[in-house]
Parts: sequence; C-alpha cells; structure tokens
Amino acid sequence: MDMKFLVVDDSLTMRRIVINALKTLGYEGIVEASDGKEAIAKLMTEGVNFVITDWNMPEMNGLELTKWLRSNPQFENIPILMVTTRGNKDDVIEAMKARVNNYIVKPFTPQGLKEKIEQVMKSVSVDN
Amino acid sequence: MSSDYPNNAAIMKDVLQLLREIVPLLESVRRSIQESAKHIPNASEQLSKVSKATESATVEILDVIDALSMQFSKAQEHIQKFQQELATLHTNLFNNITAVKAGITDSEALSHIETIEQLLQSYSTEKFFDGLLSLLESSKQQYTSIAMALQVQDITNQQLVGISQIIDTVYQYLSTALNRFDHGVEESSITNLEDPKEIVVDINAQYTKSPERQMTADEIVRQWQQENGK
Repeated sequence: MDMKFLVVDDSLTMRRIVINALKTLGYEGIVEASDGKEAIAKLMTEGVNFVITDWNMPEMNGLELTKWLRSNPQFENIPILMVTTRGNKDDVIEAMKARVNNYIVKPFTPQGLKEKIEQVMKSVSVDN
Repeated sequence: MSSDYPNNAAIMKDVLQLLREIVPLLESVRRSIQESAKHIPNASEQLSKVSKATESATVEILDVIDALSMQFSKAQEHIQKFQQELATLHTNLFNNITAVKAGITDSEALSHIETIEQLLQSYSTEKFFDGLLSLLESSKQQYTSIAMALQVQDITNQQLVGISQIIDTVYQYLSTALNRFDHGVEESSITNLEDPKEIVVDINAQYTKSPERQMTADEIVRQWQQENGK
C-alpha cells in the first residue's frame, strides 16, 4: 500500500523537519496542514492514510482533531501519531484516552519516528 | 461613655495621620506601576521580533539543507553512474585483451599485452568509489542531524510565545489597577477584566536529548495498549 501522510503542525519549521525526516525514511506521499481544521479539509480530499499531528495549535488542536477523527466513521481507524513537546504523564494519558495510536515527545530523531510509524502500522494491521 | 471621647479623638487623629501617609504611598505605588506598565508592550513586542527572526533564520537554514540534500543526491547518482560505466569499460577491455592475446604469436608482443592485463587487474576503482559514496552518505547524515536540531526553534518559540502571553495578561491587570487608581473602583468596574487569552503553546516545552521523557511516554503507551488489549 502506498502510504500518504498528513503532517499537522502550526510551526512551519516543525512541518518541514517532520517532512524531511519522512523523506529521509523513504516516504514520498506527504501533505501538510497548519491546524486541525485545515487537517480535516485535507483528509476529506487527499486520500491520507496516516496522520502525524502536533498537540498545541490554534483553531483546533491535535487532541480535538484526534477526538473528531475517532468520532467520524470514515476516519475512526486512521493511524494517528502525536508528536508534541508535551511530555507529562497526564498529557500522554489524555492523548491515549483520545485514542492516538502512539506518542512522540519532541525533539525526536528520524530513527524514533521510523520506529513509531512501524509500531503503529503493525498494531493497525493486527487490529484489521 | 464620656470618658471614651479623648480615646476616640486620639484614634481619629491616628487614622488621619495614617491617611496622610497612605496617600503619598499610594501615589508612589501608582507611579511605579505606571512606569513598569509602560515597558511591558515593548517587552512583548521584542519577544515577538525575536521569535519571528529565529523562525526566519531557521527556514533559511532548512532551505540550504534542502538544496544540499538535492546536490548530494545528484552527486551520488553521478558517481554511481560513472562507477558503472567504468566497470563496463573494464570488462570490455579485458574481453578485448583476451581476444587480442588469442591471436598473438609474437612472444614479445604477448608479454606487453600480459603486462597491460596485469596492470588493469591490479588497479581497482571499487575502493575509491565506495569510500567516496560512504563519505557522501556520512555528510548526508550530518546535515540531517543539523535539520533535526532545528527543532530547538519550535520548542524555544513556544516558551517565548507563552511568556509573551503571560506578560500581556500582567499588563492587562496592571492597566486595570491603574484605571482603578485614577477613577476609583466603582467607576472602573465597568471595564471588567477580559479572560486571559488561551495559551495555545506549551510553555513547559523543553529541548533535551535525554531519552527520559520519551521512555516515560513509551511506558504509558505500552501499559495503555496492554490494558486495552492492543
């Protein structure tokens, strides 16, 4: 299956860093959005099958985006990887309750990103 | 009762004296708040400028890294292509030498041809090209590390924006306090304080290479998945 990633972050530099890391890992299908609302618009039209989202964003944050996706039958099983600076235990628990598939604390490494993508893909394929 | 009058008078006198002292003190507090408040918008603006400048510089560095990445990839492609062409040339030369050797009867000419063959066999370009490609690969990894280190911009920017929002909130409170000094609590109560703006950044963001925070997150994720049968 050709993977198409949606990278959601309000920071332009962070989006570019995540996209560069994905390209380094050999992934080419990538679209981007600067907040949750823009992400939903992209999800509707771009045929995305993996979401990498930041948490703190204006308009609609990553947690709200996750909750929206999980409550929408079209996207309820889409893999979601949260990549955020929020590293407190309570934050991680809140994200897991919202049903993200995995969690990366910034700053991340390409290797760390690769491992988490693979873990998510593995768990998703087991579920299906 | 009448014996209390001198005491009451003394108390009144003390209260008046206190008021006389409090008024200039309050005026001094007011001036101090006013003076401090004047600098706050400037501080917030300065932080915003720092934030924009670092973002702009980071984008410039990322542009250079992208350009480098493309140039290195092209260089790798050219080198690999050249390496293949050289290998083909090498094979062709050997084939031709073998053909020529088969047709030579003169021993001196044969000896020359064999010398050429030995020279070709002893000269291998493989090591050189492998070394060059490995050098390029290692350079690529180094500039990828530079790009990853630029996450510091996003992380420190969140701290700056968070602090800036706190400064704005403090300014708002100080402005209201000043307004109350000038117009009295009753009158100024018309201008209620707005709710502080929602902070959409993580003010506790940290740029650290310590794996501890990720390990904690991993442990929580693992437990969560176990409990939920994932």
